[in-house]
Amino acid sequence: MLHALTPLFGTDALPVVLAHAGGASRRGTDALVAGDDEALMLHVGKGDPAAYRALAERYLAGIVRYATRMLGDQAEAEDVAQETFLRLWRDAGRYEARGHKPSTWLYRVAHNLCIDRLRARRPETEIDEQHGSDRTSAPMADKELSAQVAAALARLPERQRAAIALVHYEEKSLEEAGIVLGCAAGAVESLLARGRRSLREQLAAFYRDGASNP
Amino acid sequence: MSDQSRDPKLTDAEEQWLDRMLDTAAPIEPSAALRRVVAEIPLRHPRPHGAAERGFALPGYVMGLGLIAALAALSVGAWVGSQAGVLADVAVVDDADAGQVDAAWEELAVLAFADELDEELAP
Repeated sequence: MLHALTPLFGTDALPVVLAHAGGASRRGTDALVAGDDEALMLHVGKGDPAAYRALAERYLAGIVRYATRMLGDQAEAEDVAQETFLRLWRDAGRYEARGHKPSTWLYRVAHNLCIDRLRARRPETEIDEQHGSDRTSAPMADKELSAQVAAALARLPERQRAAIALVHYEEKSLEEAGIVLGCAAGAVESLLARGRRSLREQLAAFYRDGASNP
Repeated sequence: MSDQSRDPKLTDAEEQWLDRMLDTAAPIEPSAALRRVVAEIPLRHPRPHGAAERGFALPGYVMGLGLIAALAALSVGAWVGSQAGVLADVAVVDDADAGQVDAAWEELAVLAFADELDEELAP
């Protein structure tokens, strides 16, 4: 178990992890960590720190990626991730599967926290307000290109951005993304299509530069 | 990426180009500080209902609860039974007290109305 947890928590966190590993329950914990998400969620609901850490190991990076793409700010995204995993620890006992994966539940919590922050920050900026404002036809280094893509994503309406972040970057199915966003799979497909069309238009300058770019 | 998310209005070449563009995004990794904070959540935020849940995980816990409840009910029954004589005495005293209250009330009525109420109320 410790070997599996080291990549997530690093050597600094090892004393903390060791305090919970417990020699006698070590083999049981190893089996648990290898188990499916639903079993882990059940154990988290019963207050099992090892099960909690196994789920955190699996999903922390994805939640941070998703929240960063939604908020455009990694520091704020890490606050969202911290709150998401705090809720996992506190509220897992109230988790009811209803055919939904625990990971989908986590993304939904993170999504709602992101939306709260976006609403508190400013009214939603529609894509047409800034459409095409940062276009450039000059070839760019990868880092600059990456920044332009991120900027184009940030200009999308939040639901289109969320759909692309979930389906393209997090490789969620349309159904899972629909659960996170609170809509049907068909609506997610529509959000994706509109979002991708908007990105295509925003990044048109790069397409004219040639299909080899990037 | 799944084909089902493709916009039919974009050509295949555009779709593939857009996927490549999206994949140029810089990798995002959680910071070491966040990893540590997340790891320490169970320590910093003890579960308020954890004790109860641990209790239910103990073997025979539910049977134990039932046994305790049955013993408590038996104890209450035995105590009530042992108090039966005392309660009967209290009931007798209460009857005696009730007779004294009636007499006192009649005396007060005579004092207040300077007459027997029964006579006054008689048709």
